[in-house]
Order: sequence, then C-alpha cells, then structure tokens
Amino acid sequence: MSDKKKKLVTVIAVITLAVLLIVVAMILRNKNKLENPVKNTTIGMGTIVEQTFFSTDKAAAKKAVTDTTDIINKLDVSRLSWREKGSDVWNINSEHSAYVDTSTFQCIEQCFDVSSKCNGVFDITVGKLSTLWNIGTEDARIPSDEEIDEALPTINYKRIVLLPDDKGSYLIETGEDQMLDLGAVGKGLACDRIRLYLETTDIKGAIVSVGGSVLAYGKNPVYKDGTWNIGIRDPFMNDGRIMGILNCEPCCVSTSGDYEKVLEADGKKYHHILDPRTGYPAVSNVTSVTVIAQSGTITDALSTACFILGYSDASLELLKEYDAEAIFIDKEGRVYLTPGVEGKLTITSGAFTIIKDES
Amino acid sequence: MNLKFLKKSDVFLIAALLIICAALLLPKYFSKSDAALTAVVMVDGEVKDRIVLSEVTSAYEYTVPCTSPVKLYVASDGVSFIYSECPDKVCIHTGKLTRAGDTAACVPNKVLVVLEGTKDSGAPDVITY
Repeated sequence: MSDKKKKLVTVIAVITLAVLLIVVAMILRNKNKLENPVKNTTIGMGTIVEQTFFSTDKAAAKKAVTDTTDIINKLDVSRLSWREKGSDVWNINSEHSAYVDTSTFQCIEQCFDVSSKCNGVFDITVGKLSTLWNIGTEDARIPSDEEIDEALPTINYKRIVLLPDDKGSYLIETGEDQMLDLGAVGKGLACDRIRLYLETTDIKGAIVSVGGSVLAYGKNPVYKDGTWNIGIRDPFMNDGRIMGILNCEPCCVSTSGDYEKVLEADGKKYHHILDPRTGYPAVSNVTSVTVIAQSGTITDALSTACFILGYSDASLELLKEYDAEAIFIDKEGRVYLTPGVEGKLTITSGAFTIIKDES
Repeated sequence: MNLKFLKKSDVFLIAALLIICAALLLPKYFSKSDAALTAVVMVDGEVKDRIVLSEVTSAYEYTVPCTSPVKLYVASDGVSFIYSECPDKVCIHTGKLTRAGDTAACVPNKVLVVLEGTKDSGAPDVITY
C-alpha cells in the first residue's frame, strides 16, 4: 500500500469515528431531554395537584399538564362534587335517580364492589353522615347523638341500583333518604382517568399526585430500572416529612391517615375517616394505611376500608381480593407490610420499625 | 512529533470534529448546576412572586397578593403559612417548607406555595398522604 492510500484510509477512519462520536453525543443529548420532565403544581379537586411528565416531546408534555388539569377539574365539577349543582352526584342526590357519565357509573360500580367485600365498612352512601361532621370544611362540628342516629340508617350501599343499558346510558338509583359522597375515591378516580388519557399520548413516564393519591405511569427515565420512588408521609410529623420511601413499578398508591383533615374540639381531635357502623371517626389500631394496586379508585377505597378495619385478617383478606399490597403503620411506629411490598420500603426515620410476621 | 500519515489540515479537521462533539455534550453538564431554593408564590394559577431564600438576610412576614388576608413567614431556611382566614387552616398545619419540592396550599384562597430547586439525591418522586 502506498503512503497516499494509507493516508486516505486513516482520514476516512478518523472521519467515521468523529461522525460516530457526534451521533453518540446527540443520542446522549436526547436521552438527557427525556430525563428532564415538565413539572407543574396546581390546585384542583380542592387539593394540591402535582404533575411530572417525561417525554422527548416537550410540547406533548406541556399539553399533558393542561389536559390532565382539565380532566381533574371536569371530574370534580361535572361528575363527583356533591356541592356542584348539575354534577352527576348532585343529580343523584337531588333526584335519587339520574343518568350519569360512564366514569361516574364505573366508579360507583367499583365502590359497590369494595363495599360488598368488606361488609360495608367502606360505603359511599355515607353522605348524610359526612355532611353532619363536615370535617375538612368551614362547617366542621361534632354532631349530636340524635343526629348521628338519624343518619346511620341511611347508610347502606345495597340500596344503590346500577342500571346500565345497551344504548350507552347509565342510570343510578338510590333510596329517597340516601346521599352519596364520592369524596373518598375522587382523587383515585382522577388518577385512573389520567392514566387512560396518558395511554393515548407519547408520554413515556409520569408521576401525578392528586392530593396524595398517586399515579406512577410508565417508566421513570431517571433510573435504569425505570421504577418510581414514592415517599410515605410521616404520620407523627405534621410538616410533610416522610417516614420511608416505597420503590415501585407503575401503579396507583393511596394513603388514609388520622393526621389529615382533623377537627379539634373540646380538647379532642376528630379525624375525617368516619366509621359507617358507629357514625364517629373510626377507632383503629393503625394511624395510617398505604395501599398499592393498579386502580386509583380501588386504592382510595381500600385505604379507607383498611384504615377502619385496622391491621387485621379482615384487611388482609380484602386486599387479596384486589391483588393489592399495603403498608400499615400503628401508633407506636410499627410498620406491617403485605408480602408484595416486602423489601420495597426503605425506612428513613428512626421512629419506625418494620415488623416481620412470625408465621 | 512525526505524523507520518497526517497533514496539519487533517489534525485541524479532527480537532474541529472533537470540538463539535464537546459542544454538543457540554450543555448536558452545565444544566445540572444547582438551582437556588426559591419559594414560588401563586394565586389562582398565576405566579405572583419568586423569593430566592438564600437572599433573605432577615426573616419577614409576607402578605400574599390575594383578596383575603393570607400571610407567609419567609426565612432563609424555609417558608410557612402563618395567617389565613380559611376555616380548616390546612395551609398553616402543613408547617415549614424547607426542601425542594415541598408544597403548601390554602385551597379556599387559591394560594399555592412551591419550593423550587434541585432535589436531594434520594428524594422521592412524590409523596403519598
């Protein structure tokens, strides 16, 4: 080979290498773009909404912020709010028979199903009772025993009639004295609706919190394994600190705790999770329950039911019905995990210990 | 140096290509610089103020520009709601916001305070409560 030829080969090799380097550099840049999410925090459904969307298409991620905010607001105003005139729930409560949107119907159906599997410990016909207490609103107060005795017989999910017809309209009927309150599952339902929306977009990964009910969607591009890290609120600290971090695959996560929405009166604290059997805030052996499953409506409903049932066989059996996992925290900081979350929770506060089941 | 097969111009070419590569990659590293902890005050979705906490020399009370009186306490190490005429006082119970990502809201008055900045490594993506 002549010198000239050798030189040519060298130059070609160098240029090829350089082009390769540029391509790699550009790929790295694009990868970096995916890791930089579009984030937004806003108020919706009467609570804080936090949105994080990962996409190489920044415009799509920004659109997802607006679209999901709209989904949450529409769900609140047109479907679930019992205060909002003309919403599905308002219509049911005023007429006791109303045609509703598919999303409302499916949600009521899911709630009915959970109620039937926990003997009505979770029951969306608690409306009369929850408006008596009104915890978390300006009219919060302790009702009289007479008032509670009057409200209790109105609570019975079995009296809800679900009538889907084949023409795509959905009729819900309740007892004349009954009042629906979907407050316990609204945030979880919002997570479910957001997931349905995201499945129609190019968003690769997303994490959304609607007032503490969380949707972890797709892959987290920040970590190689694509998993998500969800902090669990420290139930003993009222400053938003966390007690641990749950590592998880795409799922929904909801927490019910006695530290949230508290009414303080006569030197006593009343939390907002009412036991439909007694009419009073649930007396539980736990202070917080976090539930992990695929549907947010289900995790919302189950966290409420499991809080009322406490760390018990009844709770564990209920969770199994839905392939759900849970983290129970008792008043002494003992943490109980279902098998599916063992090894997934990292405790970050000295006040908590994971208790291993002996059996 | 005896570059048998390379002329000066070739060396320049290689150098130029390497510089292009570097230029493409550099922003990735520069963009990682720490963002200062900033309290973003929003009313009804609109950003009203951005307070860089490290620039706060002495703590002060801050009146949120909204129709109902809402006050924050702004210090170099964090921000908290200290006054609101809303009934549930969820905003005040939230306590002091100290870490990037911490958020507090007075929902009745549509006031939202978010601490922006670089999250600690190991901080969760979101918190369930």
